[in-house]
Amino acid sequence: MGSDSRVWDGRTESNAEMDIGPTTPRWADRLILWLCQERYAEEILGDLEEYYFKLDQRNSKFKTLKYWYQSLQFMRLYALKTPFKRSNTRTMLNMNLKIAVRSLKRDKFYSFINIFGLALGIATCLFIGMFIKDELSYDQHWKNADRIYRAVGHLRFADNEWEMATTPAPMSAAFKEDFPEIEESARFRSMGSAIVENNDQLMIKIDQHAFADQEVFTIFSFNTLKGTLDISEPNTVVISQSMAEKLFGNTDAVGKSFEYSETQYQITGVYEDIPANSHFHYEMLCSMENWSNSTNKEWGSNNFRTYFLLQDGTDYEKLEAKFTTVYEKYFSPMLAAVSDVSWDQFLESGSFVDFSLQPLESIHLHSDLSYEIEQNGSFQYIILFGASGLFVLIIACINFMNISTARSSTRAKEVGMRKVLGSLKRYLINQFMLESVLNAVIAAAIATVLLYTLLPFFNNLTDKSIDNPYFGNLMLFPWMLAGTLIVGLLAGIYPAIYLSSFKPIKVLKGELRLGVRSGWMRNTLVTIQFCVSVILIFGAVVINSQLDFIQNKSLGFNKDQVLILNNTYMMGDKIESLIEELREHPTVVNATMTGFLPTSNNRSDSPMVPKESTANDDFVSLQIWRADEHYIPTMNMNLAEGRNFDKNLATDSNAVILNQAAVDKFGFDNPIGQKLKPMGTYKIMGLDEFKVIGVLDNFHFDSFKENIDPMVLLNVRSTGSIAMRFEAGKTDELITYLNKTWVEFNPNIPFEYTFMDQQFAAKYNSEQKLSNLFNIFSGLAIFIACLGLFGLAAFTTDQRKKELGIRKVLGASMSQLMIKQLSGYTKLLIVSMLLALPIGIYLMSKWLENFVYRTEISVLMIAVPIVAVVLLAWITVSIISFRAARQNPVNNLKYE
Amino acid sequence: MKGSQLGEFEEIILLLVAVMQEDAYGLAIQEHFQEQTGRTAAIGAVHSALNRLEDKGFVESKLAEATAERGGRRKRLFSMTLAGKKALQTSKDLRNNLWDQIPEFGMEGLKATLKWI
Repeated sequence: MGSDSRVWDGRTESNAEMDIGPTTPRWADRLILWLCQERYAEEILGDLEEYYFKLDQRNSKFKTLKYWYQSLQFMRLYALKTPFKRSNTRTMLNMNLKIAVRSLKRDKFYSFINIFGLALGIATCLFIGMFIKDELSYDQHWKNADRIYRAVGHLRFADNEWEMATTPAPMSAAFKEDFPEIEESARFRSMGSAIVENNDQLMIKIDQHAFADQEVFTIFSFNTLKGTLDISEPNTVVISQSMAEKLFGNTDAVGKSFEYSETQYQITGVYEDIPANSHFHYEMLCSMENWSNSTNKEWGSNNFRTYFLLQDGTDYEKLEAKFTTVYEKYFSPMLAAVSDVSWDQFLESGSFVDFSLQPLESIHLHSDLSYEIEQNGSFQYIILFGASGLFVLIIACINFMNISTARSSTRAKEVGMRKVLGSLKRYLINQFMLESVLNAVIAAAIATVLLYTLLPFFNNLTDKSIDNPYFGNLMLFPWMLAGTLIVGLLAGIYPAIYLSSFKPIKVLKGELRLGVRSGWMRNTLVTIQFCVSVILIFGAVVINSQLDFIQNKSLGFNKDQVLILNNTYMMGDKIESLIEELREHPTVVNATMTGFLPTSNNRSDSPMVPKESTANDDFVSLQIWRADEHYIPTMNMNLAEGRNFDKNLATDSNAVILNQAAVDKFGFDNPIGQKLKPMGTYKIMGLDEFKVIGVLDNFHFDSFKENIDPMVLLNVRSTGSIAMRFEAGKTDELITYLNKTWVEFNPNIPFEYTFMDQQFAAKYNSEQKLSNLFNIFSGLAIFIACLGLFGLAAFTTDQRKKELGIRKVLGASMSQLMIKQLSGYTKLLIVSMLLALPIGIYLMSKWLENFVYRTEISVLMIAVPIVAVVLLAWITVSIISFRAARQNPVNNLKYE
Repeated sequence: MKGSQLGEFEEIILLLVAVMQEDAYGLAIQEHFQEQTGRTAAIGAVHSALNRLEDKGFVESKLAEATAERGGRRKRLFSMTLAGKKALQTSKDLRNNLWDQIPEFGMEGLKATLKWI
């Protein structure tokens, strides 16, 4: 085995290039090379690599974990290097470990409280770490992620302001021409969900698709699985792997074609599904050549998502600043087309156009604009979660410190003895630190079990799909190891210094009144624990109240008992007879045909002006919704003035109904009968004049975080879905009936329905998540804090057994004894309330400011955490003190 | 030199080395062990046993060709020595001897039970 020509990993150089297998976990290999004797290294590593190779071929799960297990199994005495076999360090380490294990076993009760609390804290932190790491990893997988930027628009026009994730169609090409810093640019035109049909009449629904420029594949590193990603020709399309499987099963999809919106598309390539941590998940990308508007030169409408790949080393903020030089060039012709305002007048009136760049990796957490592709995450929530996780961990660490120092008297003799026998303070600190780290390691092991067991629950709660947090993409394992060590050291440092500083002579003579001296420190720590608990509970209460407020606030329409039938536009002309038939059914109260619902995300806005208006800033940007005369009764909306659409009036074809917000914005005193027209020379839905016939009371159709926007209801056919109000308690009957009827009309179209209240709840998904997590955190925090308090109270009561005995002999009643015990802790509780509540109120008012429509912080909300914490703390301490106070004093006094 | 007794695990490993003849190295022996006994053992445990057997002089080893799935590392092939064979024989003889001394326990036991009933 004495070959001299070794490379680092135990194989001879001439053979090093033979490696064909998958890469084995590097750190495990290094550990073996570091710890095991060199003469065994080659065969051990060889066996392990072959083992890994075989696992890989069998597609075995948890490969890395198994590899580590096998690697660690080689850490046996015969294989280890000699310095590890016989050295003083090792003997001392063994010794200290033995003592640590003994002390763990001696006081099982306190060890349990310590370790269990710590395990819960670590598990919480791991869950949060997992969540945060996943959120932070968004869009980092694209090869040029650091050079990709998304253009976003910020426009102000008279009284209307937009901040949009979309841009005008010509911007991409024009800016690439104007600015050499832009290496490549491309556009998506997002289209939401769609139904496509393969040649066997199989229809499938996809959630997200877009028309795209060929250049998107230069900017984004899509992984090609089959064919080539080429959509430069019209009627070509590339699709994701999962869509290919849905459409064509296991056969090769390239070259096949399918129908989408009455056009045959030919598949040129299949790409790997876009990873979950991306801000878009297009399942199919159609050639932009099929999108007639893609070549228009219209700077006034914003429908395209523009992405730029910048040259290496470009400062994007400097580039942004340069954008201002071209606005006039592009926007003044547009301005001239719709009004007679000059560019200078436009700017003077306070209007502006401004485009900026968002670094790709920041989109998910930092962008919250109109017309985002998907709902993004929130950096604020990341901070909130991170802080709460840390707090829970701190509470658990404090338990450890408190119980360790409180129990110091039991270790004092040991410390004294060791010092007398010549132990240095340094060694004692080492010993106690090791004990603390051992605790942390055991806790981390339990936390790992918890983590993997509760993973499905976590994924469910946060809408993520993480399957192996330690060794999967997230690679949490090194963080966990480092974290455990840090927690062990942090929690151990105070007890270690405290315990090791005993004066041996005093201890051995019994002069030191132990466990009492550091009382102030323990009290401070307990106060901090309860402070944190109170803040977390208060946070949970406020978030829950706000969600309740949203759920129960009168919305201006009734979201309950409404079923929405999707995909109805696929029915074509049959939709009329379908809706007629549905209305006949006894369970259906009313039904309306529309793609625009207060709970859906289907939105589009256009400006309108009063017909006689000559001023250029009179226009109002309106949400344009299309519906029929059944809309208002089905939604249970309330007409403040005027009347509903009437099918029998031919003149109603250009009738519109405004909401109150639109009336206010137009400034109409007498809205009924007012005439409106689109701005400039455009038409909206083929119409160039509108007559206001009614005014709707305001209803909430956007998030409670924003004011209600002006909107207008047009009496124009929209076949996106059918919404029907049905009789309570008849849900099952209705669905059976709908399914049957649907199949009779067309069995090939997917039958899909949702309920309006569910759609509404989905809009507050992230708040709901926040609320769930906060409930869990606050519950854990108070539980761990009480666990610690329980241990501490048990210990101090044990110390004061004699005092209690004497008091009892001298005639103290049980209630007096208990009150004496409780009052000490109650003082701490009061202090922690006084500290925590102002902080909590400040933080939560900040959070509530996110909402335009919000609940107020009430006395009740403040009372809940106070009562909860005081009660729980009292119960905890009472359990201990009741037992102590009930004891026969003889038992406590007869021993000396 | 440690004692030359064979532990149960060592004995099975030694038997496996004898059975496998040509291609007896750590991972292969571990796999065979799991197949034949249905028990699991870490590769490290097998490796450790092989080294103990080598120390006791029951097996000897040499390095063989490198293969690609081992990342270009060589195998250490084990083969049984004469002493190993003797040790196995002794162990087997001991057992056979003891077995022979059991007084017909199958039939006797049955008879005893019948009588008792």
